[in-house]
Amino acid sequence: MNKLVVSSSPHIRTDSTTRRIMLDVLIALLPTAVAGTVIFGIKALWVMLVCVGFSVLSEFLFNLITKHTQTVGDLSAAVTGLILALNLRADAPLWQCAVGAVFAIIVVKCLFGGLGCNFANPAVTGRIFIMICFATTVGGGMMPTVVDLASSATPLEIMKGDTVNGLPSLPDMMLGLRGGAIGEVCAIAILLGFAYLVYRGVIHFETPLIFIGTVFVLSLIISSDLTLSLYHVFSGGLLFGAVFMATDYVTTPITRSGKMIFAFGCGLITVLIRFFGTYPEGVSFSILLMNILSPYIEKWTAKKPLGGKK
Amino acid sequence: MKNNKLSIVLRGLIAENPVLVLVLGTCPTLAQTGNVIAALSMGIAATIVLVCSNMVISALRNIIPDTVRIPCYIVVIAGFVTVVQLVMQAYLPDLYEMMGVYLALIVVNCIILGRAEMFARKNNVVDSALDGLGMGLGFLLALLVMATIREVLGAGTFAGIEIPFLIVRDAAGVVKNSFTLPILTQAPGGFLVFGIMIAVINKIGPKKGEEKRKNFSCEGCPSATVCGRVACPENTELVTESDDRRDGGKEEA
Amino acid sequence: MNKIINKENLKPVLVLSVICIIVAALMGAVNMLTEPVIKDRNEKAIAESLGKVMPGGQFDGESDALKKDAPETISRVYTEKTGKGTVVVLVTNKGYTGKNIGFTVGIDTEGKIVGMQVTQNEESIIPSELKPGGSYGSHYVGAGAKDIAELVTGATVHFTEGAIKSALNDAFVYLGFAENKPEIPRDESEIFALAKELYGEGAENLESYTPTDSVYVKRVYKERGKDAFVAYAFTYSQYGHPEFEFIIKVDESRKVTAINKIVWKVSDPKPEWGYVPPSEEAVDAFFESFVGKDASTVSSVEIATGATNTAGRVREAALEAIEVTVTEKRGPAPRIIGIVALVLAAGAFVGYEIIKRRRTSGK
Repeated sequence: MNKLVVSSSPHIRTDSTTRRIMLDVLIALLPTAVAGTVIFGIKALWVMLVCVGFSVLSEFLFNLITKHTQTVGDLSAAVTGLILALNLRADAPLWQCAVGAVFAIIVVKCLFGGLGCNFANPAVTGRIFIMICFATTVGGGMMPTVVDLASSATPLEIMKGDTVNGLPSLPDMMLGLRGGAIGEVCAIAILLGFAYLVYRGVIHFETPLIFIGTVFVLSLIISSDLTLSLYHVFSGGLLFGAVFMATDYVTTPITRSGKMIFAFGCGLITVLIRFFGTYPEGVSFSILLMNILSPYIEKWTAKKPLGGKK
Repeated sequence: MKNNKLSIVLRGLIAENPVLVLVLGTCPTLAQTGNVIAALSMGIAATIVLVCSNMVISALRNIIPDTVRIPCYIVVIAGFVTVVQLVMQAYLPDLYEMMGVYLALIVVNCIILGRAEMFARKNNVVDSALDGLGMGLGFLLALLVMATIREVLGAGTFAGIEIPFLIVRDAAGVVKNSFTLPILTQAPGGFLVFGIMIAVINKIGPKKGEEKRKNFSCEGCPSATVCGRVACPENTELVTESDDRRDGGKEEA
Repeated sequence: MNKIINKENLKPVLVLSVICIIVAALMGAVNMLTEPVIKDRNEKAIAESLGKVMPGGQFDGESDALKKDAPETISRVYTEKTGKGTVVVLVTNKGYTGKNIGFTVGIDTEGKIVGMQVTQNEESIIPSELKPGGSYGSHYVGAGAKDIAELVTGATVHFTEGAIKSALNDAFVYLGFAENKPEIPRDESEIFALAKELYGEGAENLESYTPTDSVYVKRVYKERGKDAFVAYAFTYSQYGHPEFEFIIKVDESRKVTAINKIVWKVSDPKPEWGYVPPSEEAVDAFFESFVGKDASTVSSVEIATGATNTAGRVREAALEAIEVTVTEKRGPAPRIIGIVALVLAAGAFVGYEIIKRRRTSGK
């Protein structure tokens, strides 16, 4: 008699695993990483290696000590480490980068239950942790080593003084010849990554588009200056955060309208911090705050199943 | 008899440490552990008040009627705190300045009122004094450990003395490099260290922590909607336990 | 009534009252013992800190009553008993983090600082030199009201230093060693009228701007979209009145096209100084010779005789006016476009949601 196998659904599977998705994200981050190394020099590469290395190591050790199943193979720690690194300055002291990576992985991710159970994006929280701890060495941005710039302030710091004088030209901003963190300067590299992720179906295009669009429209409303608003779109960590950090599966709403509300909220808070707050950069804080609100947004926009109870 | 007396004291130190196991008196724990000296003063002041108030309340336990027992306890505790306050202000003004408002807050420290309610009104004076001593020392110990971590890693000093390889000064005595995490001396760092300490103690300490966890259910926890644990498929342990509890009760058809 | 006062309620009330009385008596006793010690200690601390900022001074620990309109930064004032001067205790909260910083300063009878010490610093970020009891104050010894602004102490937190200097200025003003001068010595509408007159055609579209980092030029009047403007410059003399005021018209190529002298008041020289002040005509000719100059040639303008220092300052002011930059106020058009876009997008989103919900509930 042939053996009949009885099992429950699903019976058809795609080849989409966590590892495959994380690999796609790593590939999408590659242009940004390369651009960062070219613009800021070999120091950027060291920061990336230290962050990724310590992230993977901390998750490995944590799982070992607490006798959980080893999850390092799904590459999520590597992705967190790389995103964190691309948020930092190229000349940040390496021990501070390591501390931030360990904090991000162990406190924000592992202690809350590992991948899927974290309440906020580990890379964003790690970046904020480093920014608060080591404000002088990691705050602001490093100047590119490839070209000599006239002023030694990042574009956001210049715009905090409510002027467009002294800003690099828009093409320079797109190429990345300006001060800032490793991954945030080269707009073209980020857009390449965005295109790849949308093509592979890893992210939906709504979140980054609405995030960036909200920032543009709101800064237009507040400042009534078209040039300034355009510069705001290309300055700071907006493009990088919108594409790579505001699209994290775990910490953003699942539903489509939830994603749109999330993106709008991020844009709103970013603009408020940039224009009315004391920090020149608001993207990290806005993503963190909206992460915390995500469960409620999800509940609010949850689809009722067909024929289900109200 | 001796064994009994000693065990009362020792219980307050580790097994039922008021801060880390009973989670009482967290306000001064978070506020006064930025440096070791503050932690030491707070621990000693609280211990003195705890022992004295435990003894007095135990002595009066048959006189104080049940209906007004809480106001009576608070009056007694407040009296002792005021005495300690005045004495400190007169003879130890630097410590008094450093403790600030938290000295007066010892009146509402849950450890003192809690031990009065749970122990002193049911036991004799000597036992109550020993319990007060044990709990106070446990409080002091927890504060010292936490303050050491926060001060050494957060400011690079211990009781005000700088640790040479954490704070590097150049020839002129100006700070060149400091390998510290300043956030640990501020509020967020306090919460972080506190949380990690509770986790560690409950993991490696006696099994009181395990029992506590089994008694709580995920559904009752206020963070159920946002916590990942209930939804995480990996955590079969917790989900099935609460399932067991549910099936043990009434079941809908 | 009987229900309230009966045997069951009496005992708890009695016990509680007795305990309160006993505890209150205990606290009173301890207070009586410790009060003199505390008071003594406080007075010693004050006398010690006062002695630090005014060495050798005699104080009796009692502060003077503050004048009615004393600024809030002045906390206490102690007059030294042998006539050496005054010690002022200041508290400012305009530093970097907004917490209180307290410091004491001793000012002698000639308006010079003889000592200064930071006594309290509640900020969360404290550079080592601004710690209470630190050496920060030593830089200020010997400075008078006018010298403070230029004093460079090397303190690493600039906001806080600005707050400290501002509080010091309050102390000087309170003691009468400095005056709070108005920001502009003339009515704004008067200056605007003069500027319009000088500007000529298009004067009705002039808007006023305040340059942020100039020393002499305090107002600029400009049409939106045009590059020509009129600048108003002045400076106070050391005697407290304006030394000169003028308005200057600069065209798109940054050349002076017109100038109008409003005030020129140089003090009359004492005979023993042995020089002749410039005549009215010489001053007018000096101002006229600015017309047609630009940034590179303005330094060649000379006054015929005397008042060379004042003339030098006028030249600096004119150069500043020629090179001044102001950020233009923006038009309303982009803002309206932004609002319209936002409203349309929000409407589209809400409409889409409503349609979606209607579709699922309809099924």
